[in-house]
Amino acid sequence: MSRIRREQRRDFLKQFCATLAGGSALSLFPQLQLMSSALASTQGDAGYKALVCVFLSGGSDSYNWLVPSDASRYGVYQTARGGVYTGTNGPLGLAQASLLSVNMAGSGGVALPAGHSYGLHPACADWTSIDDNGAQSSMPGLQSLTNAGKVAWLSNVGTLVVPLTKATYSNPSLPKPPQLYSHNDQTNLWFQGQETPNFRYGWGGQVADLLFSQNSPIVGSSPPLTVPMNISFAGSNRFQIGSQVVPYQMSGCGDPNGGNPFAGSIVGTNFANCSGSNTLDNFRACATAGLNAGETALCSLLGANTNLLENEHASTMRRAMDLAGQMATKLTGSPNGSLLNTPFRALADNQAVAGYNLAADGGNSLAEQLAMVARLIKMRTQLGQTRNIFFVSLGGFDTHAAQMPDNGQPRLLRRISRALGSFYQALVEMGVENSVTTFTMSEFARTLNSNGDGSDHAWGGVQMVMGGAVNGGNAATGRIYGSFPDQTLNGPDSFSRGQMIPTTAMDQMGATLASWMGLGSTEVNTIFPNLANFPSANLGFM
Amino acid sequence: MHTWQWWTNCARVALAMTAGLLAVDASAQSVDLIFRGKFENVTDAPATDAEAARFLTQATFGPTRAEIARLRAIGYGQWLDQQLSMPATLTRPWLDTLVLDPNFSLNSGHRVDRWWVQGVFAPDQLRQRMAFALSQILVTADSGGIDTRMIAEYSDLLARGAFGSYRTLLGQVTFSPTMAQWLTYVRNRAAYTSGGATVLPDENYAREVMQLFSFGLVKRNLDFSLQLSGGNPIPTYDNTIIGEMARVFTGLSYGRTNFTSTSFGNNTNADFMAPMVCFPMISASNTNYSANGVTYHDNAGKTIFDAIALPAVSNNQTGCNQDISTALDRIANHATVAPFISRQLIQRFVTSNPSPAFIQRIATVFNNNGSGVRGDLAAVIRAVLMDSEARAAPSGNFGKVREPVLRMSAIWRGLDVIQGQPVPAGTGDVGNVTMGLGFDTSFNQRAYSSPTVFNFYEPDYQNPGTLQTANLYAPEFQILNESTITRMNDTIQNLASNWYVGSNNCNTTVTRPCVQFAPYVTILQQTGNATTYGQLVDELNLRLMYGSMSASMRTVLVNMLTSQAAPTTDATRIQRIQQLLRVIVVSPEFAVQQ
Repeated sequence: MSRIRREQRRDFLKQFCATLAGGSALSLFPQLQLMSSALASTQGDAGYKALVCVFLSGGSDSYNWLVPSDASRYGVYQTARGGVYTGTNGPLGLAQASLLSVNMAGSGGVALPAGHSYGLHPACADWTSIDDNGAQSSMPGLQSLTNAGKVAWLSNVGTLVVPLTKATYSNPSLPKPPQLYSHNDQTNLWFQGQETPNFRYGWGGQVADLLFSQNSPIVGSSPPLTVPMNISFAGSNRFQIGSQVVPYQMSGCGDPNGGNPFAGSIVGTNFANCSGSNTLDNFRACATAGLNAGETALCSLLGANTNLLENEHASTMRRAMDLAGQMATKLTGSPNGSLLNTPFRALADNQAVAGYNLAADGGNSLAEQLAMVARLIKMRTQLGQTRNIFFVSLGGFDTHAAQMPDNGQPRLLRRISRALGSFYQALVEMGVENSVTTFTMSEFARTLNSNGDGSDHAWGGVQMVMGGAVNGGNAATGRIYGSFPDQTLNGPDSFSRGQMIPTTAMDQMGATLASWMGLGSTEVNTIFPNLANFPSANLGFM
Repeated sequence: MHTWQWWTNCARVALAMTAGLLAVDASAQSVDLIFRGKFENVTDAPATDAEAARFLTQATFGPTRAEIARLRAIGYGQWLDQQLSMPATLTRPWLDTLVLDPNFSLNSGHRVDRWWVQGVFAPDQLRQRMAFALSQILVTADSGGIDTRMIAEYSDLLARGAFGSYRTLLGQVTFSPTMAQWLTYVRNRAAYTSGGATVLPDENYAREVMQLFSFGLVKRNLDFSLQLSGGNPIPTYDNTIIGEMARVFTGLSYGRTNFTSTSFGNNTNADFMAPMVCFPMISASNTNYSANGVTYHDNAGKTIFDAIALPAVSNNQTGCNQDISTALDRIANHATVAPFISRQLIQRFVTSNPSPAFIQRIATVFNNNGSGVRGDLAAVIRAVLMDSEARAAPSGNFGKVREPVLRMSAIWRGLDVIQGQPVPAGTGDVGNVTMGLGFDTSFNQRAYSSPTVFNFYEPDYQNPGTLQTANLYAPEFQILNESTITRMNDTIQNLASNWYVGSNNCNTTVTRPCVQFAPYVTILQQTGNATTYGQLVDELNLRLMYGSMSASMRTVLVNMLTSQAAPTTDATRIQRIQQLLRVIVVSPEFAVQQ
């Protein structure tokens, strides 16, 4: 492994120096920290692999995230969006000059068609983090990560049963995904990996069903306790549910750079950032020696029960009490081995320094959740984990109104870019950026056409995948996979309001990620039963 | 006050008055509720305290000893008659009173405090429960930054309309500025051109009024089973119909008394509490003005679900109101409304998994209350609570996980919690009656604070694992997981056992809810042995678990007490009582209402 690492490092350095000679290195790596990240980017833990699903809840207007910046296609975009937003509600377009330029190649590194170029939403810029002590750090945003080849963009992905075009959409013999445009239904289709309504399991859960046995009990736990492979920091979700693997739900509420991660679910002392700052020593694990009379009584009430609702309540409590205590021993203590140097939060509340005032920007719950993911990854050996699928989420994307002001879509995209930038840097700090792949999902994209001050539910959209293992790797250029649609309203790829008919199935995206996790084609085809309907089972971005 | 005579034997009325709970809906019909039970033969009374307590667990925010006795005296029918005709206890008038104090600084916490005061202390228990159930179907929330008083007004709207007609309520909801802000259709406009680009109406309300507020995505039979075509569910609408329906909900903006040609687009003189009005209008008397030549409401004909044609209407306010009213009539008359709404009401009050026959019986009442009236919510909730399936002894997996806030309210009511005194002068909370102290943020459930229009949980949620394998729905489990369950249990334990002052009486200056321990201390003062411990457990079983505690749980609790040294002082007796409460309120048997 170390040999591979050296070789890759050398390759990268070669490319880097070539770029430097070309004179564009500064624009490519404007941040010192990112440069060190990129230089160190060949690390991985061959024994560990994790997927991190970032769910953008509400339906992200992703055609303002990645925008065609060449004059011809930008013009189409601008028209479809009703013009450029300049402070007065109505148009949903971004100014061409405001787009952040990115170096982009196509699938497999082939050059984009002549004249094509892309820009990112200005919220994806690099930024300055200020920690609790006022120390400033230059941090990467999605622009730099794309330019460093750590991000692949997937275009026009959506729910599909079979390939559809505008011409074939009206053919009644071709199946369509049920309940298009509905939040909860489309969310579940993305999670399920198949279009069967109300299918019980998610594709993340089914992947875990095949891999969870590779994990072992928490080191030192007695009786042995194994942490579920799938962990959610954003509540229940069908994505992570398997026939055998039931996701473990933790709270992202906690100081990401310290404090207690469990938000009140363990014996603990520091709940400074969580509500309910109580000592919870009445919820010790039932196997703990020396339980008091109350604890003993409670534990004896948490056995099997014939009413399944009561039974479920009891088993959830028991699991919470058992696991929390065990995990806490790995995640707290002094010194706390799970803490990271990467600043996940910028707490510049009262500091008169230039930079990002997180509090004034409404916080960043996504960054807090990802910080906890990073801390679990850091303690993976102690926790017995070699495979994980994490779920985090950011809400607020249902921008029917007030989409364009800074506290609308710009703030949402800023949160994503900064949370992901911090997370990637943390992975580099731990040396596992090649072992952890982060991707977004969102139930649908939105109408390109404006409803006056926002956009409505649509269909196919843009997603992104981030990690050292993303194909493109150290190529120092981002890549775009899948075809980018013609954004003409009611054009060849869309309906009247610019609802894009997907040209890539979310099944293909999920299958590519499942394959990277180590599943074979038979297993992948079982999880994604409609995969065979599409031209490729692997989009090649990993 | 004459209508409340039946109530005056209860000391609670004094408490209710201190919280301003007599600020009721003045428009409500006054009815004679004189206590009749003592003088008439009651044929439908619960046979036991436990049966009465179980009914009250379903129908109210929790049984009290006093209410158990009253229900047994007057019977179900009369109890329901009284509750259904009781005027609504309201939220906004209370907040409006508080803000009269220049030192008072209103925030959503005050609204939530008031919600708890109403839930725990208001006499119109069933109406408040129904309003809360409706708030979980016709969802709005302050999570979108909507003004506190607007949310309060919306909660009052639901309380007032809780026992009226579903169609009337749907109309009030549609014209509510709170809903219009929440689902972004205030100032929604007919298609227009801006800078050469066409702007089309916002589709948000058009979609959710059908998907969530009325009939849902697919056609269903009366018993909630799917209607099928070629083996497939039949969608109720498609996206084309969403576009058509979006055109209906155009032209609405805030009401006001002084209209001008620009009133549609500005807030000058706007009334954020009153129902919205449809533009065009330039004055209260001139509703025919098409402001600046702009047509805000799309008055052309539309084709909605089931190929129903909505005719073109006049380009004036009358036409607009007529257009929206016709569309709402059509929605409310959709055949799937009855099973769709009935099932959710059953889930909120009685059981997560009603039998198809149960749903069908309620849906039948929804369609016709027996007098040919459709959507009579009073008849519907009466049918839900009096259904044979609701009243039969529970078996199998019957019941529901108590909603987190209803767990808490049942504890407070069951323990006869004393309401705190209003906050004295000196803070921005002056005059407020504190209940929540923000604790319900640890419940993942806070009234009118759902994160989205999909409520805290969805009716079709199945928890992975055992419940899913058994194909059981359990909506409340969507917000209960390893993290939240412990956090909530911790809060509930503390609120159930810690917030008291003194052993016999709650201090008159305390500004928070206070649990009195005196009745239980008295029991333990006899002697500390298995017999008195058994009495104590039985008392709490009746108060908190409507007598449903299993023999094995009772044994565990009695053994817990006997395994410790017998308390010899009131202070240690209280410690034992607290310990007992802390175990009961987080026990699986308490957590599930059967």
